[in-house]
Amino acid sequence: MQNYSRTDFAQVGTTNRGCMRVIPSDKEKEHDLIVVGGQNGSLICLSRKSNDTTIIFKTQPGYPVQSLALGGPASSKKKDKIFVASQNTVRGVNRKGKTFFSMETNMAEVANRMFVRGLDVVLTGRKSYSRYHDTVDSNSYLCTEDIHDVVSLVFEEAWGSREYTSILACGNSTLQIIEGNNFAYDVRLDSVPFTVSLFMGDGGHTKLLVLYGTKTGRLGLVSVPQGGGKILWEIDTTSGACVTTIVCFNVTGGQFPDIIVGKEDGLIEIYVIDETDHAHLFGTFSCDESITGISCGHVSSKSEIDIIICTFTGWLFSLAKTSRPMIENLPVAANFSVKMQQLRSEVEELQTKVNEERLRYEEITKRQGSGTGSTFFHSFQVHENFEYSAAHGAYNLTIELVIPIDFVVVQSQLPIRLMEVEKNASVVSEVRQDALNPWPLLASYRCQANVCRLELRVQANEGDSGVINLYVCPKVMPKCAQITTHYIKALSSHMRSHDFDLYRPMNTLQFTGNFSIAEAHAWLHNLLPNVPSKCPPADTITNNYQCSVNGGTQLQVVYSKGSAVFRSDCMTTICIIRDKVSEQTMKMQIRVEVACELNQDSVNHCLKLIDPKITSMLNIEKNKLYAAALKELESNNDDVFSFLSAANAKILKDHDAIYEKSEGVSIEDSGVLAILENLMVARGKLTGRSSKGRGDAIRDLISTDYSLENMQTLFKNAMND
Amino acid sequence: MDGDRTPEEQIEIAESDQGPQLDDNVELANVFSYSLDQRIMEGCVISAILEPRGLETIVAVSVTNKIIIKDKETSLNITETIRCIAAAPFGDGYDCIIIGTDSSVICYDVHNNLTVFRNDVPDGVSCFVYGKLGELDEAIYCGGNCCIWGFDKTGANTYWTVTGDQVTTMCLSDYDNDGETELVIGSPDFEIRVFKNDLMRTELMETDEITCLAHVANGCFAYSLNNGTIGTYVLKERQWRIKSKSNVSKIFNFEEEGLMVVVWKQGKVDLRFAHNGEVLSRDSVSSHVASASVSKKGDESFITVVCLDGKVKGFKIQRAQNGSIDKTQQLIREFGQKKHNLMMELSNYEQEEQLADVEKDRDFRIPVDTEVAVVFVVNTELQLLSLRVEASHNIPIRGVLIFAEGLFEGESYIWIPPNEYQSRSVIDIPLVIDKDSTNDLHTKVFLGQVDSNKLMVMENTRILPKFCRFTLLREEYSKFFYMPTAYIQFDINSRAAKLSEWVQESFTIDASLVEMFDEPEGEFKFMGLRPKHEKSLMFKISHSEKTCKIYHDKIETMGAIVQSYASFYQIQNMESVAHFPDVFKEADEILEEIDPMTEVRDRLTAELQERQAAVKEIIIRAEDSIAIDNIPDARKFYIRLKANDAAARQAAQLRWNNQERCVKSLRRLNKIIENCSRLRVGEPGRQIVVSCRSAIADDNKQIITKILQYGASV
Repeated sequence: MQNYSRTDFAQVGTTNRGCMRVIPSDKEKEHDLIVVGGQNGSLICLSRKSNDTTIIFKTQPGYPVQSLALGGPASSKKKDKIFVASQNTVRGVNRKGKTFFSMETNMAEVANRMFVRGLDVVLTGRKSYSRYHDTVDSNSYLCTEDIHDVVSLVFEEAWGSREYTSILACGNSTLQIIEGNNFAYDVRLDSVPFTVSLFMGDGGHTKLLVLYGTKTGRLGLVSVPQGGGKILWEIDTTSGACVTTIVCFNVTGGQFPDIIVGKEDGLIEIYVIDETDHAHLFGTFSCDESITGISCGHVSSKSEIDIIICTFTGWLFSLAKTSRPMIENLPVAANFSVKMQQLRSEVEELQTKVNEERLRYEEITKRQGSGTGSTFFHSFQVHENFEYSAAHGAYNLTIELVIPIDFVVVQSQLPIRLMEVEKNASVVSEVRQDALNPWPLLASYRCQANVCRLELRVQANEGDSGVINLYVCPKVMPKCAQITTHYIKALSSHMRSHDFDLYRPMNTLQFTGNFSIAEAHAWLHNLLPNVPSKCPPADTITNNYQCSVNGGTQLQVVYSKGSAVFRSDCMTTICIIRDKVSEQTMKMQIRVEVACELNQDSVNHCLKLIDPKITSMLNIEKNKLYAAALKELESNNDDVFSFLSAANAKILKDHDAIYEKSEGVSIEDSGVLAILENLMVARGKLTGRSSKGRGDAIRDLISTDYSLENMQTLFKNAMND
Repeated sequence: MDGDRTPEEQIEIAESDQGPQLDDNVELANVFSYSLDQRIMEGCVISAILEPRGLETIVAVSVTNKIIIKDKETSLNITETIRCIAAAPFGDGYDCIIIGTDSSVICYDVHNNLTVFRNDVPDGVSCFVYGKLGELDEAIYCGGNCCIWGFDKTGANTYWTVTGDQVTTMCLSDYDNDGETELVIGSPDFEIRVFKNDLMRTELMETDEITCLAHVANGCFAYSLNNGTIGTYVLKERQWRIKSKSNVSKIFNFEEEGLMVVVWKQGKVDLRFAHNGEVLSRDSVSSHVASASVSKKGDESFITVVCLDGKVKGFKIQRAQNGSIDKTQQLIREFGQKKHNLMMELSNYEQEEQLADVEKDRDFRIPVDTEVAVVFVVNTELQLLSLRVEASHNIPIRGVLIFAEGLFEGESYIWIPPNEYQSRSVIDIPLVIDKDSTNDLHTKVFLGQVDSNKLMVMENTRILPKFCRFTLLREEYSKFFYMPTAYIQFDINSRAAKLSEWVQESFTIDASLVEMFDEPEGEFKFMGLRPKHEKSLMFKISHSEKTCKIYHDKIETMGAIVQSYASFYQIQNMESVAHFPDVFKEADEILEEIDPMTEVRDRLTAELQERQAAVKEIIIRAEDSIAIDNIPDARKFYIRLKANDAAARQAAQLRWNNQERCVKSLRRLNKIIENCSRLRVGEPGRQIVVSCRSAIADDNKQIITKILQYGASV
């Protein structure tokens, strides 16, 4: 956003999501305050005057602050009471820092997310949902999926027959609507919702509208009346990073409150709303840290709205229009010099202290003598995220520290490809497998100055599974490193889905034997991403999945005690499952019978599913050649459009767009060749025939004479070898 | 977008240099944008004044091999494949366009619409630079396959010299600050060469292919490499160096302000201080850059960036408008970050005090006096040099990371144990090195117990000696010594009385053994290590006769040894007698076949011209037949045309093959001369080149091997 500028207020400690708010002032002449809770349990209240930040109060450290909300009596229009959730306790703090209220809940989990309205406090843990009305435990619900966020409807005057209603953002790509103690219904989404917020701050004109943001960077609006919900719209945001924060506040001066979105990759996006409740992108701002909190108010100026941003590493800054009067924004020269000198003195003093501590540590260690003392280890927290992105067909792996990263070493047990991430400025160096190193991939990322956050993109083929270790080394003395571990499952591109098309040609794989449902669940946990480690309490479990890289094949799993049935229209998937589960059963000495029922039509079906992707890439390449030739023709003829056909004229007009689209499109890099070869190999394995791949023939066919029929013929002929 | 900033690159500054107090309140500003509406060839953009009293305009080459001039409707069609273009003020108050193709240099006067000259350049031109070199008049200098040509405004050849590899980039700069410019060239073999007039004066070894060179100031030039490095050399020493993940397209100098502008291929544009590389301002263009150019309009300079898709964006350097606010915020943020880092470290120290011993044990700590030794070790049986990493107290090594430029395929090598539970406290990492060059190994060793995910990191820096591929031979391994047949002999300079000092620095050798090199007489044998495991080295020292003989069969390595020896002892002039029978035989063979190859080339050229003439004649006859409606004859002529065209193509292919062999031989001969020159130091080395060229020019070829063997002074 060209007309917004960043002003840094303070750096507090690391923060969790949803732990920063702007408190409205209680007097007309005073500015609003900022309150932020840290992972060290400390609550800090700040004010901003004359371009300087002042601490109003700061509480003692304790358990990490998980969530922070503002509330107030229903009779008052001001919401200036601070509610803080730590562990299983909720405290109420007033604007002077005094605790006026404390409630210890009976939750068995840490209260991660909180919603406060009037006398109601809503808390969610990883699985549990609780509502407390005037400190009395009023509603509870146990969810089988991870709960990422919660919000409640504000409809006090006319609840009618509807009980207190909350919306949960759940890990199985649904928004679950809880009325009272009961699950009312769910709204199915295409990706996992991570953040929910009331539209316009109160649910919009119907009071039933809820905004949601997903892990894959989508933003949507859903209406949740009694009886059944409906998605009104859903849009892509400007990047595929997780939406961590959604706030509604009027910052553009429009007719309705704006939507301000904060994301995992540091992007802040502002959307304006039209009369039909649709959102339109107004602008974006980018910082280099994960966003954990956004709030708005008159913090620096009574005449202009500040957007206050809080990041994971604890930076607090505001975004404000640069067009505001300079007198308010420009520091007076003398004040600025004094402030700079203060900062410089503080840094120098701290440096002296640190140097003294270093020397003292060296003295102590020398005195302890040989073998008795142990080294000093700087503990540091690695904030990490490992999430599959269907848009890229790869895993996004981000790590973030509060101190600068010196270098990171990547070690992978399985063959992976490290893809280019544009915003990364690190120098990458990959090491090939050799006699000393059995690892398929080792790589070093040497970070540049003051980089606290690193983003990698990791692509793996389905069927490969294993551990990826990251050795993270910050710029700190003495030098130390921390290992973080991530696991890629064999069916790494399969995502949960709600629907299963029964009319596709299906292959069935069944395991029967002496095993419990928990053991069967463990097999799935090792096979598929995002399967909870604990088995849900049920006699029979059915889950549906869809693969995102091979054209959208399906997988359905039905398992219970002594039986596990896998059905898929893709033989590669069935083959991988058979190999992996057999591996597990042999390791655990479980006797199982394996029955496999194959449908040869599924091969043609899979080829048909992936055909649009291949055809699209080939068409892009062909159009690029046409565009280049037509451009040459145009440069030699003044009136070229008079004799070109309509199709060719369109290609020429779209010349630049075609070239832009073809950037990065490559048959070799898309993984298509591996998918086709793996399908042929899997069919060979499952039918007991030769499992030799025909990679060269597949590649030749695609590069010379591709069509769906020709590919099907190639597969049919290979069957007879 | 505001705030969309790439973090500063890591800067290596050779020395603390207090540059001039420059105004840092400047920034890049976007001042114009338009599109050429063509896809542009990479590297082919210039700015030129094409008419008397005209304005500078952009000239570029499209991917369809046409020269595009902004604001002109027509474009120039060049039949030969264009590789590069330049502007030279050869017109009367305006520029001509200089075009480098696969086989020629063309000077085209756009104003008069005529070709001023066209000169054949075998193997074509890869880069141009225009200006004054030393005492010579202004000329356009053309970098070719292994030659550099200079042409004046009439097309006369005023300069010619040879170099060891293809010339990919050039600049004219006063390298040694003596008031005269030198020609600085860059090559794919990682070398920057400096020519004073037509003699190579200096070679600077870098870590990757040279991609861009630019004059910065007297005594200073800037360079960029294929691995993303940029930096400057000042008076023969590297001043600063920065590595990025992107590659450079162009570097421009603004000498009066002490600034430089770096245009990166992926679209970034940086404004930097020339003396330390610090970034003052940053902007970008939306897609990949083809090239960029600087032009002047009045007193103002503009940087014009042209993208591969034909879009053009212009920048200028101006006083920052919002700079004070942004700089203030940036400074506050940096202080805040630094304060935060220090407080984190301090709080960690405080936490450490409060930890009980039980908690420390849970952390899998290692003993405080643990040390890591990083030494070079020779496995004599395998003829292999390794880096041995050994931790005391039997602490497991959980990983080793080595950063070294130009030594590994990337910039680092990583070792992590195959099985975490088979950990060990000592590991040998083989080093198979294919170049003789000094290298810094920055080793980081991860130490920790097998179950711990917290590791200590020990850092260590070792200098890899230049000739680490040789190790002193011990008697029991004499089977690995292969007596070399080639040698050089030179007089021992009085400065080099103590040979041990140089041997200690340049070879991997025990300190206890190095004293033997100072004995009055001696033979010292070295065995080669992989990949030189069948190449041996021997020194024969005789202080009574004041001679030194070095035996080794690879002339390139011998040259490196001689240059290293002379540089160490600061010897300015040194003669030697060389005995490399295989090399001299090869030179003789090349010299013998040059004349026949030239004759064959002339004959093939004549044959090709004859065939081309026949093709043209048949085309005319065929078209005449069509014009007079004599279709049967037309068909007959077109059939004959097909056969003649095939014959002409075959003749062209034959000529090209012969030309390829000819150039390959000439390049090899030049390489041999250069290698023999490096067996001498200073003026004797330069005289080798001068004398060999004179001998070739005078058709006095039989003397060349004598010059290579005994030097030019006999």
